[in-house]
Order: sequence, then structure tokens, then C-alpha cells
Amino acid sequence: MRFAVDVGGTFTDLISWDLRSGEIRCNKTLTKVEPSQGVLDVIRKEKLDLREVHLFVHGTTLGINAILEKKGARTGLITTKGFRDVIEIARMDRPDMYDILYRKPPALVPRRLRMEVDERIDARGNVLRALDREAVLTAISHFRQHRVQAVAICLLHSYANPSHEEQIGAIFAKEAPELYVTLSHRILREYSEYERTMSAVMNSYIQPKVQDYLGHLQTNLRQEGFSQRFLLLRSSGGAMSFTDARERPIFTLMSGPAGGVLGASRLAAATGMQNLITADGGGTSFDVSLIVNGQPRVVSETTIEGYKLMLPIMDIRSIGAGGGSIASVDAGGALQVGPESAGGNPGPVCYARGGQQPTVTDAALCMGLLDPEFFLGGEMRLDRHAASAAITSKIAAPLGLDYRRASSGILAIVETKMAGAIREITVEKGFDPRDFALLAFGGSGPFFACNLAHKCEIRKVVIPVAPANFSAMGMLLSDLVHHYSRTVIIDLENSTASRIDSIFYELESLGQNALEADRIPPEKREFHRSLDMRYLGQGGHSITVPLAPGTLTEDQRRTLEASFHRMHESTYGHRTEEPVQIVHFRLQAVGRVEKPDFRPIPSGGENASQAIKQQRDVFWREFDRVVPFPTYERAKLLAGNSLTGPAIVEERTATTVLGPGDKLAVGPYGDLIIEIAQSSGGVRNGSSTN
Amino acid sequence: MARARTDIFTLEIIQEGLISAAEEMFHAFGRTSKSPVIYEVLDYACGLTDHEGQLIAQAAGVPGFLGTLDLAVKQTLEKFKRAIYAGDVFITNDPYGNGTHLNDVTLIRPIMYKGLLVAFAVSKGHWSDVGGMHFGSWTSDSTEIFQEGLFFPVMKLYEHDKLSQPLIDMIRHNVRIPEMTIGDMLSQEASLRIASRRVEELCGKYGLPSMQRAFHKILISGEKVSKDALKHLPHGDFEAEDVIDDDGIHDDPIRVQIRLTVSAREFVVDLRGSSPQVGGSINASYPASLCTAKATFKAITSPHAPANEGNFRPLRLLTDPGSIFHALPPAPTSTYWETDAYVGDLIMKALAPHIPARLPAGHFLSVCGTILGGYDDRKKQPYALVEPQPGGWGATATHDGASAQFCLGDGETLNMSTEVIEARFPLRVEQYALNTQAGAGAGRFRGGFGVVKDYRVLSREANFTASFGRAKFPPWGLSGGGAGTCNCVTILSAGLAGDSRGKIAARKLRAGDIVRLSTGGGGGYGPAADRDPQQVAADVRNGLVSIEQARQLYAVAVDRQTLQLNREATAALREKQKRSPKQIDAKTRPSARRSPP
Repeated sequence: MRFAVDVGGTFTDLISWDLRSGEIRCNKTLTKVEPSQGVLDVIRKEKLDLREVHLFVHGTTLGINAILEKKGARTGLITTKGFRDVIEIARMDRPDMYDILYRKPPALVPRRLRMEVDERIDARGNVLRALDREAVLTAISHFRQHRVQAVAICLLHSYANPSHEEQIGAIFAKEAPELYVTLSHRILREYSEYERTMSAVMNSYIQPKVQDYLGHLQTNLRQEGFSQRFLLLRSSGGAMSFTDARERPIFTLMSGPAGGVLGASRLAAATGMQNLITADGGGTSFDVSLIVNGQPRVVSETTIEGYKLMLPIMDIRSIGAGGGSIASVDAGGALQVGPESAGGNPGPVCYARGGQQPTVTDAALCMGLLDPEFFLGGEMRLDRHAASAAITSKIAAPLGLDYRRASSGILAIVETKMAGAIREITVEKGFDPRDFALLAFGGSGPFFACNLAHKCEIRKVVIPVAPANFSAMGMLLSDLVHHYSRTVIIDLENSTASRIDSIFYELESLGQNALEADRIPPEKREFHRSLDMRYLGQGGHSITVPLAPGTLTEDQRRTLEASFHRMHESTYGHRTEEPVQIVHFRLQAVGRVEKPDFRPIPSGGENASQAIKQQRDVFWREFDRVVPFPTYERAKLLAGNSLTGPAIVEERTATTVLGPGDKLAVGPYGDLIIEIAQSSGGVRNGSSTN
Repeated sequence: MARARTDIFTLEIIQEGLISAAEEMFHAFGRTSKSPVIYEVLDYACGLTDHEGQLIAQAAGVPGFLGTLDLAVKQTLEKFKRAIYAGDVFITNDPYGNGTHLNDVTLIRPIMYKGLLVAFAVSKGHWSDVGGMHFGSWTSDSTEIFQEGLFFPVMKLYEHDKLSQPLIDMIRHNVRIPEMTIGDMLSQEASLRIASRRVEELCGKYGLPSMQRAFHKILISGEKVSKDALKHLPHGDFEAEDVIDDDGIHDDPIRVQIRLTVSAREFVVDLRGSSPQVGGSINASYPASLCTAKATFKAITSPHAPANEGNFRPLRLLTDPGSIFHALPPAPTSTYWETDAYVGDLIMKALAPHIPARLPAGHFLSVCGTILGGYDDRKKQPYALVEPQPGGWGATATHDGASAQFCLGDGETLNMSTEVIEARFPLRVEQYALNTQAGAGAGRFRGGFGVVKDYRVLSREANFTASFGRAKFPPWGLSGGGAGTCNCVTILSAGLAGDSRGKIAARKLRAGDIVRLSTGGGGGYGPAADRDPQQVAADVRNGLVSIEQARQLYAVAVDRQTLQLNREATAALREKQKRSPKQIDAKTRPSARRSPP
């Protein structure tokens, strides 16, 4: 038996897989204030026998929440003399260039807890000044005096030579074993001191809380008989061991969204759809990502709450747009939607929990696209009257429209933003959306999917089974992964295969040791090498070029340059004759674990009439009037069934809307595969070309 | 009826499409450029105008550039009239007609749809070198524009998609690093093509009439946003004056003044009566002054809304031709930012006392630009590091000023990482820290702190140019707050510190010399004696304010051992100070009182 639990903002989702029967089951409960309690609750609700469990994969938002709520540990920092203010000076880009009142996010470590030590290493790793050990002892007593819990240590050029950081680590282990210590080179072996310092500080900031939580959870699981492997999902989609996660919780920050993208890559493998745009829609945010040739895109930099971090993380573009996004009319008379969200509390007006601001969900309800009696499978009744009253007074009246047209305008705007996010990760990165299918999941993803596909000229939409639990499913599908990187700047021209190989070999031996500790047998280990390369003299915009596994030959080394030119051209539209440089070495060490297959559902003929629920009046902009839409119950659809829009497919936690002419076929695994109707540009989305 | 109503959303969708086209252009230029000043410092801007040259969409970038994009298009229209064809690309860097200084080169591409001129894609970027008397072209010791590099009046760089070979040859033989300059030019041109394609696609999708309606609506609603904001500003006449350090040639201070008239309909910036143009390179052309006026007006009225020309319809700028804000040929303009920044600063100085929660006290103001370059003995190639520096901002009625942030004229700009600098250049950074030694303006809310950065030269020789304004006259305090502190550059040679100065032109340095760049703190808000004593104690604990400063400036006593507030002693100090308030004002400088009553 294996199972995965994803703790989200609202729900804690469980998915279990019985290896003997092949059965996969879902369950969910509301997330508790003490998140480990929700995990235990959902396990009990599912009546899982933990003595039977061989593997538990977990995703948690605890770390990211500590950052969002600024409730991390009291953290200290040690830097090279002259550089303690680096984290406060930061990188300084103003997100809104005209905003003269802009303030950077506050430094996570107050200035008096930032201590300097005399030492210096240069960019090539030479020691210019030895470490002043006395200064380290002074810092320790200062931290003790100020009741610091966790300390980050980041010295200049430690990526090139970590010996001073290691010496400080050893002094702490001896003199102050009670303190949590993060050495920056253990998080990241790349240059850029602000990002490396922030990554280390962030790790320290969340470490006591995450360790506490994990320890607590493990104790409780043990009491219930669990004794086997406990893994956590990384932001980059691989899993990491319990022990590793305790040391470097920073790598689990975005485990929830990563689970969804990982699930998508497995679905790509199962269905043969190699290129997917994933759209994870919730109440507040809309997360999009790409699967290219079956692979999710993992990047090495991200920004969280204004802090720039360097970490391997799924390349997910997140915007504030979802069911809870608030609509308003601004001073210029323009309709605005989001990024503010009514969230779950008070929530949209139609929840009747005190929400006053009309939201996207209210607009959808007013247009007849949602069934007020079947929200969360009927657990909650929506107040359509309150929604239309709010939209009438706050949106329709100021714009001189009726509430239905105002509602369709709200959807058009939020969809334009979502389409913009899709465009950013595709067109702006050199991908043509027409080469992709759109995989939509999460609570609100399926609702927008067909309209977004139409808008972005995507021809095919896929809605997986249990779309709202898809992220937890992804966790069950993960392998164990370790990431290693190193900044070593080498001109490709002057390099040799053996020099490049020796650096990778060093990284691989670290990976072998880690996978050994994870108890992964050698035949299940894989190593993926890649190099970040750039033209000599170009800036930070390098390109990651993957390498074939195993020892690099001289011939392969010579082809690297051609691969780089080709990738540069496809990414940026041109190539030059300049010499090429290697900047960073990257290695992914993967331990393969057994994973469940997607299971076929019972099949039937083309006719889907057994699943018809009712007809509902829907205001549809293309016709500028109300038209009847048949609604279908997804649970009753069989593989091979097909139907043509306009139509609405409803399930417990999601609603899928098909526009006129969209053709749905139920796939063998129960996923909804929708061919989007082709029409002259824009009409469906409400433009009136003359 | 129904159709016209539905149209509202189409128009907004077109507007989003235009903004993302401008942003795509911005990213394409940045990612493929070869100069750190473009790809790292992001010293460029991109936008779209309608067929008359009115700005309809822009991407982020340097606010100090955006306001001039439309002027370059208008000048092109004026000069070429109907002789503008598909596949043409125009080039110009005329400071007096559309620009700032010769380094900032604008490229313009007409966007045609079915044979009709629909719009222009336009971008302006800082070219690392355009010739002139020193490496990097801009300098603080030029006395006429001919010393500052190549001058491109509006001319065709491409005609029917064919690059003008004579012009390229001309550029190649007149700049110091032609690969970099021409490489950047090609990246810039390629980015215009990308934006043109996007706009053509929008035309194909929505039709020309919808596009034109969208342009119209963008401008109308832009104007409405500004007019609505004007209603919420104080109305009347406001005056301020200030002093610019010097022109880099002579030491004389330069007087500038503003009379600002705000009503529900108009925002009139009258700079007449300010100093005549000067002999050194700090002169601002009218376009440069207008551009800063626009950026400041936008910041005051609608900083978060997308910018377009409609926003600026209520704005008027009055200058004396031949003055420092409206320099005429052949005045040098290569460090114009030292002067055009005062347009923004004077507007804020005049208005801030009336809306101190929305406008901060004076900030460090200058771009604090440097060029540090030479020959890398190890890599056997020339190197040049061109950078702006961050500094301290002023306090408002509700918050302390921000520390270490770029000036008003610099927008979405990044500083460079020390580790990257040391890996790339023969330089060592000895410190990069908040400039607590110079301090910041005291007040109920204090100013933010500047930075201090030390570069040690490791190559055998190097060349150094810097222009740091406000090196003599510090940022102003607001509503009784103290003045901020000055920017300065110091060269430490063989362990000896030279003079601290604001401007240095092409100074020769040797291995081991240290260049210390210090930027000032912002002005404070309100009397320092009104500051919450706990805040003062916290500043002491954080090493931002010394125990002595706490006592002298803030009348707050902090225990030397525990660094905790001593309440009784503080109460006594503040009581004593109430009886003779003048003593506390020791650090307030004369220039802070230059504001008119």
C-alpha cells in the first residue's frame, strides 16, 4: 500500500494505491489549524492501516505559509566582513516603476542579528584572508544573548570554495549544538550572493517549524504502526527523504503546485500527449506550466514574496485570478477583475457568508454556468439572487449594462488575464500554443479550460479524473530526486572532455552517496547532466543544454557548441559567432520508485445520454442571449462516450463548460478529451469585428 | 446597442494585447543584448504609439526614457511626412529634439496593416559607446555636444528592410567597441520587429476599426484617470527653489525654481526664471525636462495604472529657451540627469508639504552613474563596468524613507552581484553596505540610508568617470524634518584618501587604488524630537543611529550596555529640549531651509 497526502489551503487531500489490487482511492477533509491533525484525520477517515503502508509521500504548505505570514524562526546571519547589508540592499528592481512609495519586503533578518566575520575568498576559490575564528565565537554569544533559533551562514564565493563556511559550521556544531545552522553552499553552489544568502536565510527561517511539524507527524504515524519510507515532494517535482527535508526544507516550498505538474507529466507519458500546458485553477490563483516532450520544465530561480531565491523549482507562472477574484469598476470607468480575491472567507457573494464584493464565481452563477444546488456535490447551496444583486449594483449599473452582460464581461476579463499567463509561458518563450494540449485541473481549472483554449488557439483540452485531487495524485507518481549544481566558468573552446567530466563525476559521487542513503538499489539510479551556457560577454541569460548520460567523449564535447547555438536560436530567435562559455554544471540524481498506472474506466458506446442531468438556461455571449445548455453528470460517463457543446459536465468538485461546437470524447482512463471548435478569431470571446 | 456594449471588453482585450506586445519587445531586447548596461542594468525602454505618435502602450523600463518615445516618433513624422514605408527603421539620438543624451539611441519602426500606417514600435536604449572624447561617451568635462559622440538626426537605418551599409560603416568607425554597439543595435531592431508582428496579428484578429477605437479609448480613459486624480490634489500655486551643485567645469552653484499651478483641469509646471544653460554637460534639453515632468506627474496621479499619452494631457511644461531646463545647441547634455532630476524634485518639493503622506521628503536624487574600465591583464581584453548606484529616499508623514533604492529617474533596474562582478572584472569589492556613517535626515520619520561601495582596482591601470549630483546640497527635509546627506566619490590611493567630490572625469587609476562610492540618505519628516523613542532605540540597536546621535538629534537616551531605551533620561532630555528647541536642530543644514515659506 502507498499513499500521498497534499495539505492545501482549504483541503487536505489523500490518494492511496493498493499495489495488490491496483485500486486507487481518493479522500479529503478540511485542513486543520494544526496541519498534522488534518493528515491524521484524513487517514482515519479513509481507514488506512498504516502497518500495511510501504511508502508515504507528503506535500505541505507549512514552509511557504510561514513565509507568507512572516511567522518563521528568529533567524541570525553570518556574512563576510563588509557585506551584512546585502540582504537589505537586495536587487532593487521596483515592480511598479512609477511607485515612489515602493518599499522592498523587509529583510528577514534584522540588522543587529546580521554578524560579520573577517575572511575572504576570491572568485577562483583562493583564500585571500583566513577565517577569524574569534569573530565566530563572538557571533555565537551574540545570537545566544538575543535568543536566535536558527542561523544562516553565507560567505562570498563559498560556491567556489566552501572551506570557511564548513569551518564555521564545525564551530557551531561544537559550541552551539542547540542552534539550527544552514551553510549557503549546502543549499546552492552557484554565484550571486544575494540570492544564495536569501535561499539560506529562508531555509533557516522555516527550518525549526518544519522540523517540528515533521517530527510530530512522524511520531503520530509511528504510533499508528507506520514504519516504512516517508518522502516529501520537492518544488521541482522529485521527492526527497524525510531526513533531507529536515535539513533543507526550503526545497519543499512549492510542493503542492509541483504535484500537479508532475501528475501532468505522468499523464503525458500514459496518453502519449507529449506537449501539455497545465492550468491549475483554484479560488485565488491560476498556475500555468509547460510539459515539453513529456518533461516538466524546472528552473533554477524564483521570486517569493518579493525575495529572489535560487532553487530548482517547477517553472510555474502564477497570477491572481480564480473563482474568488473580485470585480470592480475603476475611476476611469474600466472594469477590473482581481488580483484581489474574496478567498474562502468571506468568499463570493453567493456563498452567503458575508461577502459583499462580486466575484468571478458570482458572475458564472449569474450566467447560469454553475448549478446552485450541486456546489461541492450539494454540500453547499449558492445564492443566485444575492450574486445578481451585487453584480447589478456594483458593475452593471455603473457601466450601463444588464447584469448578465456585465457578468460575461467579468469572465471575459479574467479569461484574458489567464490567456496572458499562458501566452507568457508559451509564445514569449518561443513555444507555439497550437502545438500543445491544455490540461486543466484544480477546483476552477476545468471551468475556464475550453474558453482559454479557444482564445490561445489551443486545439485540444484534457480534464483528468478527479481534477480537484490531481496534485495529490502527482505526489504518488514521484521519483526520488537530488539536485546538484556548481558554478565553474570555462570557455568551451579551451575545455577538454575530461575536465568537464571530472566536475560531473564529483557531483555524481555526491548523488550516489545520497541515493545509497535513500536505499535505492544501483539499477534504479539515473543521472541527468546538463550545462548552463552562454555567449562570451552575454549577461545572466544562459541556456541549459542537456548532456547524454555517462562519460563525455571528445566528440560529444565538440557537439555541445552546436546544441547551444541551436537552442539559443530557438529561444531568442538568433545566434552569433561569438565563443561559448560554460557557467554552471547541473546534475539530477534520480532514484526510480514503482508507480501506479492510470486505470481504465468501464467503456460504453458513443451515446452519452445516460449521463444527462437536465437542461439549464445559460447566457452565452456569442449569441448575446440565453440559450439552453444540456448538463451531464461526469460520474455516469463511460469511456468512448462523446458529446458536442454547448454543454456542461458536472462533478462533485468541478464543472467543465463546452462552448458551441466543442467535441468531447471520454478517454480510456476517464479523462475528458475535448476538441475545440475552430472559428474565425475572437468571435466566441466576445469581440465584434466589423 | 448590444454590440457597442460588448465592445468595451474587446477594447480592453486589445489594450492588454498592446501592453504584452511592448513587454515582449522589452524582454527580447534585454535577453539578446551584449552590454551589461542593457541586460543587467536594464537602461532602456520600449513602447507603442498610434499612427500620430501618441503613446498607447509601454513596457517597464527607465521612467526617464518613456516620456520621450513619442517625441521621437513625432519628429520622424514631421521630417518624413508621407515617405514612411513598411520595412523602414528610423534612428535618432537628437537630445534637443527628442532625447536625453547622445548615448540614448531611439529606433522606430512603422507598423503597417493592409498598406495603412497603424502604429509605431519604438525603443530607446543606452548604447555603451557612441564615440566622443572619453570611453563610454558620457562625461562630466565636455563643454560642447561635439565632444559627446555621434549625433543621429532622424534618419533611415533600414529602408524597405534593407540595412543602410554606409551608416553602419560610419558607426563602426566612430565607436570604441563596435561589436557591442552594433550587436545591441541589431537586438534592438529585432525586438521592434517582434512587437510589429504582434500588433499586425491584433489587426488581423480584430480589424482596423476596432483597433482604432481601442487606441482612442486608451487615450480617453488615460486622460480621465489623470483628471480624476487631479481632483484629489491640493489646488493652487506652489513654489519651490533649489540649487544644483555645479556644472562640472566651474564651481558656481546653479539656481533653479518652480511655480506649480494645480487645478481640477491642469497641472502646470513653470520652470521659467531658472538659470541659463551652463558650460558643462549637465544641461537638460526640453524633451528631457518634459520626460521627468511626465514621470513625476504619473507617479503623483496614477502610479499603478498603465501609462499612455492620455495621462499627460492635463500636464503643461513652461521653460525659457536657452535655460538649463531647455538647453539649445551646441550645449553639452551628456550628464543631463543631474539637472532633469530637479524637475521631479522641484515638483515634489513644492507639493509634498501639502500631501506629506503621499509624497516623500527629498531623496538622493542623482543616478550616481559611474564608468570603471580598463584592460584586463589576465583575460587580455578591455573591460568596462557602467552602473548607477542606489541611495536613500525621503520620509513621509507615515513611514521612514526607503534605504538603498534607485533614484526617481531609474525604474526597473537591477544592481550587480559582487560575486558576478569579481568573476567578470579585475576588480574586488571591499564593502557594499548601508551608509550609516553619513546617516540620513532626522525626523519624526527619518530618511532612508544610502550605500557605500568600495572597488579595489586589480588591473595594472584603469579609468574612472563619475557623476554624483547632490554632492554639495543635500536632499530637503519635509515639515520640520532634517535634511538628508550628500552623495560623493572618494579615491583612496596608497592608503590615502583624496578629496570627496561629486564629479570625476576619466581619472587614471593604478592597481591597488580604491574607489569609494557613497550615496546619501533621504530627508526626514517632522521634528526629530517627535520620533517614537522606542524607534530611536531600535535604530541604535540596529547600528543605524549612534547613541550620541540619538541624544543630540532625537533627545533620546539609550543605555550604553543594554542598548535599551532609558525612559526617565529621555523624558528629561525632551523636556529640556522643549524649552530650547534650537539646540536639537544642529544637524539641519542651511539648504534645507531654502524652501519658500
